Order: sequence, then structure tokens, then C-alpha cells
Amino acid sequence: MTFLAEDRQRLEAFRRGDAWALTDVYRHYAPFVFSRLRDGFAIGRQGSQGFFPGLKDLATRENMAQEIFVRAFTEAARTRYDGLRPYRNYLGTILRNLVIDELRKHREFVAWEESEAEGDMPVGGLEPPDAALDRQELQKAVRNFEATLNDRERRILTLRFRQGCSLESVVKETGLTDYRVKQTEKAIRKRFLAYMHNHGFLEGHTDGEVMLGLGWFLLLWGGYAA
Amino acid sequence: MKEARKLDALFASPGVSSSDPALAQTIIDDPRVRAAYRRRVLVEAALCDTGDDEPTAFSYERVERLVLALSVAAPRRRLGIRWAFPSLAGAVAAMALWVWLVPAQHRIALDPTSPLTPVWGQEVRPRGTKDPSWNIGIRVLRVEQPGKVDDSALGMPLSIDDTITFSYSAVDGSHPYLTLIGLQPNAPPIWYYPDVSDDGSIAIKTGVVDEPFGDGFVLQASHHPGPFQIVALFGRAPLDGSALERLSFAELPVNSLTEQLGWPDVREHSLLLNLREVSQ
Repeated sequence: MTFLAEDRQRLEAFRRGDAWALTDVYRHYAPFVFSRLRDGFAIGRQGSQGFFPGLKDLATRENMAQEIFVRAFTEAARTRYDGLRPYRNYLGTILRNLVIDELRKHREFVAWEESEAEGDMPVGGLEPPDAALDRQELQKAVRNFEATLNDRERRILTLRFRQGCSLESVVKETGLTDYRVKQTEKAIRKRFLAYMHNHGFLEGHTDGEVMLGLGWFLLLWGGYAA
Repeated sequence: MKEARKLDALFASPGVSSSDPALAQTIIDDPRVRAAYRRRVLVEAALCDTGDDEPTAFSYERVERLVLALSVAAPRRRLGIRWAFPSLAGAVAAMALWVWLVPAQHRIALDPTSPLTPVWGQEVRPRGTKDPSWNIGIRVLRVEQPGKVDDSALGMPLSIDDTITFSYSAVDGSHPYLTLIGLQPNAPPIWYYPDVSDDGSIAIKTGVVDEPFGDGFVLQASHHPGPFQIVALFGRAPLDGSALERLSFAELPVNSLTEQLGWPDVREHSLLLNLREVSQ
């Protein structure tokens, strides 16, 4: 049995587009989509085999995951799913098609298919496009920001941000109310963004369009070298 | 870039709530916005100390918000219970357990038929002022159970198991923005208006007296017993919410918050109360 097929009420609600069912499906399958986008997969196309090496850049994975689920949650895609076969496979097909669509949008895909010279292209280990955003400087800024936090905030930072504890377990661990934890978390996140703005790590730091284009180029270039 | 502010809100707000469909679509369509998004992910990953390969603690929920913003017109909570209970007794027991386990919400919709009784606090006036600002102000009201209110409720101090609501007066039009927060010792401010996810202040009607807000606040969801100061700040423009979020005081009352923040143009109405453990 699959997640959707095992619960007919959920399946019907999903097909109708009820928000709770879409949320359930997203939460169940998001780890699968994120890991597929990270790890990559083989792509067979018109007799030739390629390999999508995966996206090393988390932000691009998030953007792609968003597009995949938005596509999967359109009315046409929801109603086309029969509820009998595993939804994971169905979603995997949407994922694969989206990746191919993205590759087709960029001429580099064609160029690589035509040249097939193995060894011409760099393989894997793609550096995120914002590598220019100096990691050491960033880590130093994070440490400096952390020094501005009080004990409670530092505790929430450790539990929630770094250990990934659920809200419920943080409430249990700290004895704070649900509201207080959320409020502290939000305060940390908001202040951190303000801190990063003030220290030049956000707007105006790099030329986004150029770097993004470079990121895609590297992705495609490396993607078909395997 | 105007989307930068929306992205900041997306990255700063905890939990899953509705998100802006226009922003979600722009992230898909506009490379500049994607680049700005990417930088926020990078700095968040540094804060969360995750490697490049792993999503941060907030990746899944952030994408969920964006997906739902584009996939459903108005995100709704699931209603009803999925499983068939074997008996009515089982359902009743489960409901009781649900009420017991689930923490109370901070803000609730107010039943318009609920009786309200005024709660009187000690007015904390800015240093050096003798008269209150007559043109602006707030009132604190306790939400009573329908049919349960009598004269004895009048003047009763607040308890942690009470629910409160507010009304405000803004007689002239000079200060059309309001920020309403609660302060307790050694704790960040409790936000009433705007909601914690909004910015700075809300726009209010002017030329009104004792105008109800219409929301109830369940004290036990976000407050502790003890001293409790409610501060209303009326501004000519929206206030800087982040400056307020950083506030934490060891002792109450706090005299003249506006003076401490260097906001001479902002008018303040502040009430000091004491929250008892439970109603007697």
C-alpha cells in the first residue's frame, strides 16, 4: 500500500485539492524529492543515457522542489493520478520531466549531446554559485551574531536551528511555552537577517543574475559528463 | 528590490502559515529573486551549521509555504477526524485528551456575544509628565463566559487563565499607526498588534473612541503569572518592530519606552497589571 492509496479519504481530498491533503502529501514526500534532487539520477533520452548529477546547491534544490510540487499539485496532475500505483513513482516522473525541461531550456544540453567527448567536462563537485560569498567571513559573522544572543536564545538556536528538534520537543526540553519558543525563534531569524544585511552578506553582494547563469551552466556542463 | 523584504519575511517567520502567492511565483520566474533567495539560504545554512548537502531545519517548511501559496487558494486546516472511532465514548475521550494536550492559541476570534468587563491597571506615565495623552489610549477588557458575569467580576484582577481583549481611542488623525505589546520581566515582548509575523505597526482608524479590536488573547498561551505591562505606542508612521523585539527588562514598570528607544514623536499609553496564578 502507498501513502495515498492506503487512505481513500486522503486520496479523494487530494484529488479535490483540499489544503490539508496537499500538506500531508507534501510532508510525506518532501524528503524523497529533496534527496533525489541532491543525489541525482540516470536519464535515458532517445536511446542515449545521461546522468543528472544532482544539485549540490541547497537553494536551487529548494527552488526545484517548489516547482515540482506546484506542478504535481495542479488540478490536471492530481486528477491524472489513479491512486493505485505508488504516488512516489508518479512524483518521480514529474521530477524527472521537470529536470529534463530545465535542461532543454538551456542550449548547453544540446551542445553536450552533440559533443559526447568524455573527459571534456568537469564532473560533479559543483561549487555553489555564491561561492564568492566567503565562507570563512560568513562563519565569522555567524559567530559574532551568536555572541549577541542571550542564554535562552542560544539554547533555542542549538536545539531548533542546529539539532533540528521539533517545536514540541523544544517546548518539553526548555519548559518554555509554545508561543515563547516560536517568538524567540522568529526574533533570532529576523535579527540574523538584519545582521547579515548590515554586514553586506545579503543585497548588493554579488551579481545574482550572472552568478545564477553560471550556476546553471556549471550544472549542465557537469551533469552530462558522466 | 522590493521582493527582498518579502523574502526576509519568508525566511524570518517560523511555522507554516499562508505565504504570498505573488512571491512564490516570482521565485520561480525571476532569476534576480532566486539569487536573493539563494543568499538567504546560504546564510541560514551557516547559522544552522548544516553542510551543503543537508536542508536546514527550515527548508521543508519554507518550500511547503511556497507550494501551498500557489496550489490552494486559501490554505485551510484539516477539519474532522480521519479515523472511525469504535464508540462515542472513545471520541469523547479523544477530544478531552486533545484539549488537554494541545497548547492554547495566543490569539482567538472573539465571540461577539461574550460579556466584557474592564480591567484597571496602574497607568505608567513617561517621566516628567503629569498628564496622560488624552487623545490616544487603550482599554483592557476581560472576556467573560456568557451568563457567568455579575457585579463581582468588576474590578477583579487578571488571572493567568483569563482571556483579554482591547479597545483603543485615537481622537485626532495625527498618529494613525499602533503597536500594542505586553512586557514581562526577563522576556521578549508579547505581540498583540501587529501579529508576530507582521511588521512594526498596524494602521488604525482615527477619530474613534473605544474602538474594539475584536480579537481575544488567551493569557496562559503566552504569559506568566506576575507583573505584566501593556504598552500601546501610537506612531505617525509604522514603528520599527525589530527594535521592540530586542527589548527585555529585568524589572517592571518600564517608564517611557519611547524615551529609551529615542522615539520622541511616538505617543505611549502604558498600563501595569499583575497576573495572578489562577482565578479564585
